Amino acid sequence: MPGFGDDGAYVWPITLLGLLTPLVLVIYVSVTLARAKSRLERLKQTDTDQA
Amino acid sequence: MWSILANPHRFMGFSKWAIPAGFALGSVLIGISLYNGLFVVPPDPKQGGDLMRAMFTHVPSAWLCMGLYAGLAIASFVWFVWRHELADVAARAIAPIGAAYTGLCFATGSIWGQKGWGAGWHNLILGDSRLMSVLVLFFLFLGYIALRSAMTTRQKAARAGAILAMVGIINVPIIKVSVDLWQDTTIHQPSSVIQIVDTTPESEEQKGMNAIYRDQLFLGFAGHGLFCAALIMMLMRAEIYSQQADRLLAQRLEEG
Repeated sequence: MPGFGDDGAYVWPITLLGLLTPLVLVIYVSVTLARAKSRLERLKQTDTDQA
Repeated sequence: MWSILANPHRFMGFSKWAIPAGFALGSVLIGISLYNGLFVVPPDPKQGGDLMRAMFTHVPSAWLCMGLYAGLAIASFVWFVWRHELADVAARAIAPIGAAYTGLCFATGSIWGQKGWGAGWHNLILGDSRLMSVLVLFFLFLGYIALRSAMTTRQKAARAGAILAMVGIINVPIIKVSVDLWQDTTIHQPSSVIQIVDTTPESEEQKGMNAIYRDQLFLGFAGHGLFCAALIMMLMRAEIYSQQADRLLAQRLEEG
């Protein structure tokens, strides 16, 4: 793996940030979606139980 | 296609397969762009040698944050004029993704600036037209999210957010031309990929960026774009579920 000399101290953190940001967004979005879905399912389940 | 997808049921069906496809294709394109950008293309002495490899992360994120704001403004306009509920759902979903990518653009630019300019962006921002206009974009995204959260009803939130998003679109062309029209007010380099305003005195051969670098930037942009589209569709699905849950709750309250 190339080190890019002195520039490596800047190039690698930038690249890492570019990979981490989408990953963090995937986690945030997945949690948001799972919470919204489970809330709806819980409400539907209560409706079914009451019926 | 857009009018077909404006129906939430059709959107849910479409997004079920479009989300994994967007993630898969986006990841592959990002991977190819980064691999080529880091390991294949030669260093460019005109852009700081190996340091220019930072642009394969920084530039796609910069393009994307402007593109996402344009998407936010268009979705807001569609909701404002035609009251398409799904357009408002899309606008709401775009905002956090746009804020994150604007943050990424800032963070990567700041690290790059430490070496390239000898100072991070945080030391330069107040007097610089490009950096300041991107900061305004960041605050527009955050302001949009905060404004919506402050409203008591979904309708009020949609209206206030739409007005802010439509007014704020003026900032996007300002960001684009800030490096070309006001070169004496910015340390940022002029546009080298997409030139709207030609202010460079160089010959045709010297103008613009070499295709081997430009192609990797476009690949990275397409990859991040597809990745973002998948993220936005996931947030839209979450919002649709949330609205359905709210309707169920309201129905129960009415029934007592």
